[in-house]
Amino acid sequence: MSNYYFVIVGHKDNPIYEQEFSSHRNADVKKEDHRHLNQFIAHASLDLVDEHMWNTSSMYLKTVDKFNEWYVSAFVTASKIRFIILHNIRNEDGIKSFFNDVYEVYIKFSMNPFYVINSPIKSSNFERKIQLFAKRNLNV
Amino acid sequence: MNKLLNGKLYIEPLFARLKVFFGKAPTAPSSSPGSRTAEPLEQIRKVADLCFLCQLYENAYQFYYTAKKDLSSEGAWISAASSSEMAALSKFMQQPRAQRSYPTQYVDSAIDTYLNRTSDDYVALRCVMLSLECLSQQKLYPDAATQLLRLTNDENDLKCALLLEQVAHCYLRAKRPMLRKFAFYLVLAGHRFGKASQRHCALHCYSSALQVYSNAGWRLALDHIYFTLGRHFLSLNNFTEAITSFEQLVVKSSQSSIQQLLFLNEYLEIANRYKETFKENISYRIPSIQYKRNTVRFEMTEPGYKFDSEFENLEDIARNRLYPNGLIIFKKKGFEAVENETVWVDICVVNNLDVTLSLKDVNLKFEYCATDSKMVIPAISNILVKALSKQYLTFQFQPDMPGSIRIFGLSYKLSTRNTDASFNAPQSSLELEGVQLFSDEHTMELTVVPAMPKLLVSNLFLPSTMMFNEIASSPLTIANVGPKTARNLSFVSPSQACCVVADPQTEIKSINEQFLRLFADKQVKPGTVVMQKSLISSLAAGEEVHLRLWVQSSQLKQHKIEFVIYYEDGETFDEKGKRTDPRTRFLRYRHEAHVLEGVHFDPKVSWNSGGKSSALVIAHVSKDSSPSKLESFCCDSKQWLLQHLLTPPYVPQNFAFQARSSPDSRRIKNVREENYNIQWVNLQSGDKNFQPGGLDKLLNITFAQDHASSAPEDSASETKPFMIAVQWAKVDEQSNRVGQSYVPITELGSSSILPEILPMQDLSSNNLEALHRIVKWSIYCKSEVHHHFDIECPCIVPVDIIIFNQHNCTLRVTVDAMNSQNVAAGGDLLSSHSFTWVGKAFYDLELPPCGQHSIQMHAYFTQSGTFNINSFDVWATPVASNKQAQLIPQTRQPAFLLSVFNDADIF
Repeated sequence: MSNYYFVIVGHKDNPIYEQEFSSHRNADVKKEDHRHLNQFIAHASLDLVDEHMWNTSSMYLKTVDKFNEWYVSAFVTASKIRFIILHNIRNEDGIKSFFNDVYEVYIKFSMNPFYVINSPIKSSNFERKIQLFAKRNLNV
Repeated sequence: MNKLLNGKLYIEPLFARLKVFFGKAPTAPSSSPGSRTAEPLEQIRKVADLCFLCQLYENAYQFYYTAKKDLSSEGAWISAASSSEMAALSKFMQQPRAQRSYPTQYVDSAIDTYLNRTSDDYVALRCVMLSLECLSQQKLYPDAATQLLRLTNDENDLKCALLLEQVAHCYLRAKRPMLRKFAFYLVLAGHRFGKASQRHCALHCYSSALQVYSNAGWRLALDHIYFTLGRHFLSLNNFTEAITSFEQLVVKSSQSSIQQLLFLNEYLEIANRYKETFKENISYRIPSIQYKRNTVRFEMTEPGYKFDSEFENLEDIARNRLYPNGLIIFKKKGFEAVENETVWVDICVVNNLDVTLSLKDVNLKFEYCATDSKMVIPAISNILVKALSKQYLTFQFQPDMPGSIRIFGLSYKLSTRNTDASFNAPQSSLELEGVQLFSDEHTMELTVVPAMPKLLVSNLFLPSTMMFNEIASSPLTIANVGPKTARNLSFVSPSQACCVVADPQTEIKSINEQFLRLFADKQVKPGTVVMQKSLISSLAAGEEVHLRLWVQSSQLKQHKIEFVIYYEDGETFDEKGKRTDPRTRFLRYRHEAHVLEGVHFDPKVSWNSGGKSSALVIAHVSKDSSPSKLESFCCDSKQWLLQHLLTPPYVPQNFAFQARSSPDSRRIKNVREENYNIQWVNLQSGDKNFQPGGLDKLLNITFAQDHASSAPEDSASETKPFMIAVQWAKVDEQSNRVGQSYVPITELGSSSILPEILPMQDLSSNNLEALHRIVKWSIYCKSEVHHHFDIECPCIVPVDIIIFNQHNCTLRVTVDAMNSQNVAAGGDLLSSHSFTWVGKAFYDLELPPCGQHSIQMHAYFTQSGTFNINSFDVWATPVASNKQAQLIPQTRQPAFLLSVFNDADIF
């Protein structure tokens, strides 16, 4: 069973957008209790993301951190917005293309003149697209 | 030595080993069963230990290293691990003179071996602690953290908690502090402390972590921290802190509604225990109060209704205009209520939770600073604040004494008991009384002043939909319901609101004129205020007055009708008997009307030949707007005289008129605007009330003035845009609307086209051109005449002609209409007939310098049509030069058009 937790983190370490994916249909009930743990892990990994992003020229940082069964992969945009994904199985190619897709749609979204950078994204359209990318690249 | 050989020596502390070397020597030589009799290795290890003790660390390292290598090749893993640990330690002891850096990997492999090959984790722990000291000495905190983390998968909660706390601090002390890792491991440590029942330690960890997580928006993580903190505080019986933590969970939440309800119930439980323990009232933060929306109303409007600052501006302007020098008003903080008048206080509460909150016995907490007031503010017995919504709590009361009221809080009973219970989650039956106090800057101050007159507007019914430029009216009753007489009632409204108050009997014509002037003023000075001072001088208590409010919609889509009525109470006297300024009060009114497209005109100007002193203007109604009928039009121009031209066949959608430059316009600049009459032109045939305007009168007033003393021209009146106001009506099944549209005609703007006073010396016989223009004349007669040609064939129209001498010398002038060619004005619009002059048609006059003379002639028409009246010949010559001088024909002036209607055609 593959589980994913995806979060976009702004410049002030604030979550801008969060989404969980699971290949298991009835995983929601059990997950409810541990949802805060995802936030803790993702937040803690930011230290390593900030360290790694200076060591490479590419935006995709691969797996930067690991906690228990969770791997943390990251992607840092040109404007230093961080995409973090927690995953319990290795899927480097899928995550890479997922990040690239999300990056594109995020850029389009951030060009909306009514959107303020660093503010939470509350767009059903955006959410639908992320779900579509997750389905395509992460098989969830 | 046995121990040494079977590889158990390493587990003993260093001091124990010292005994081995210096204290009791081993009694029996080694050969216990199962041990490796690796004599050379044993020796090497011994030498290494000795070297270490003698502080020959480099040698010790070399021997330990050899021992480690050999032991691991022999498969003596634990001995090898101890050797590698000692090797690393030897290296560390050489610091800072060591050539090689601290070999962390040795310790790592040793820890691995200990963890995997022994059941006694004490060894591993000791190794890690030793290494931690070494690494922290060298500031290699991240390495230390990694090593510590390898021991945290243990069953022992307390040990793990302590190690995790150390890990967290390692991350914090790293060269580049890893604050977020620090917070995370503190949370983990706090969790393990909690499991180990070390609540104080757990609280310490969680509180430290909270500093990192707060204000970043990780709501779920934050909720977990607050919840755990609250629980721990509760089990330590620290209710104050427990309440504070749980409050954070319920003030705002992104949890599911069931979770929110659980949190809220737990909060209430804790609050209840707090109350029982400390016998103190709970200070609530839910539902939250939106202080900005809190207000005090003095009229029965919807809750939270606030009159904005526009009214305050109007009121300030009104006071300043009425009392330019006096009436100092000190703006007090807060609101001003009047004794024995009802006041409504609205408190806006917001429920940020997805759970309905039930408030009971809601009381306003207030202080009344008055001698012996017995005022009570009635409580709200029960109110539900729905999930994620806003609710106004309205308290109504009547202050009974002058003084001041300070409102500083609310008290209520909070519960989650819902009437519309749709949750499966258990509902608490707890109903807990508490208070919510306003912070100092949000305290509401009410000053209660002695009784005053109070005006109310009633009977005012303004339409909610209007057409653009429509003029609507409504009766307006102003009643004084207060106990005192109101004086000096004045009406104030912003000019863009286009409101005028008038006597109910006032005719619409005068209102039209007022609106025209208002519009013209607005063009010149936008954003002004219309003020009708002292509309009513006094209105006794209980009396009422009936007026009429006229409104013109001047803004498309939304027209805001607003006005204030200023009034004051009678003159008051202070303690010393000195007269003080009257107290002022305002009645505010606002109404918004939706405005539809109205009637638009598209004027076209064509100049008559012979200069720009006469123009023909045809105004078309734009296609998309069609009034049922056009009534009349008017104009406030001093420069132009207007005459309506009937266009046969008569079409209601457009009209034409002639504009002639008024010869006297520059001389009436001294006449004040208000005295100046507006020219009216009626567009409805059959109406005989045509007024030629007050121009004749004005002419007589002003023309007699000495032209030489005329001041420089008033540029304001020159640049004033020319426009006409057209009155229209639109009648359909639903409504009957009248309105007045303004048509600016830019071509007839400010260019000066007035007759000049010419100097004397120009009139030499050489200057023929000047001699042909020595007099000017104006024609005054009706611009349209209605005549029943069936009943009486000829139509005789009297025509007044005023002849002006433009020169400073006496002139001899003859007017001859007998031989003139009475050609009717050409063009498609106009009929081509002629007329004749009857009666006295020849005048011989002598005009004094710059003088004028008026003559009357009669035009004789036999048919309807439009005719050029300016068809007579004028001859003139200066008298002074030569008595017998030949008369010189004067250049004919622009046409003056007169329309004659045959009433028999129309009806």
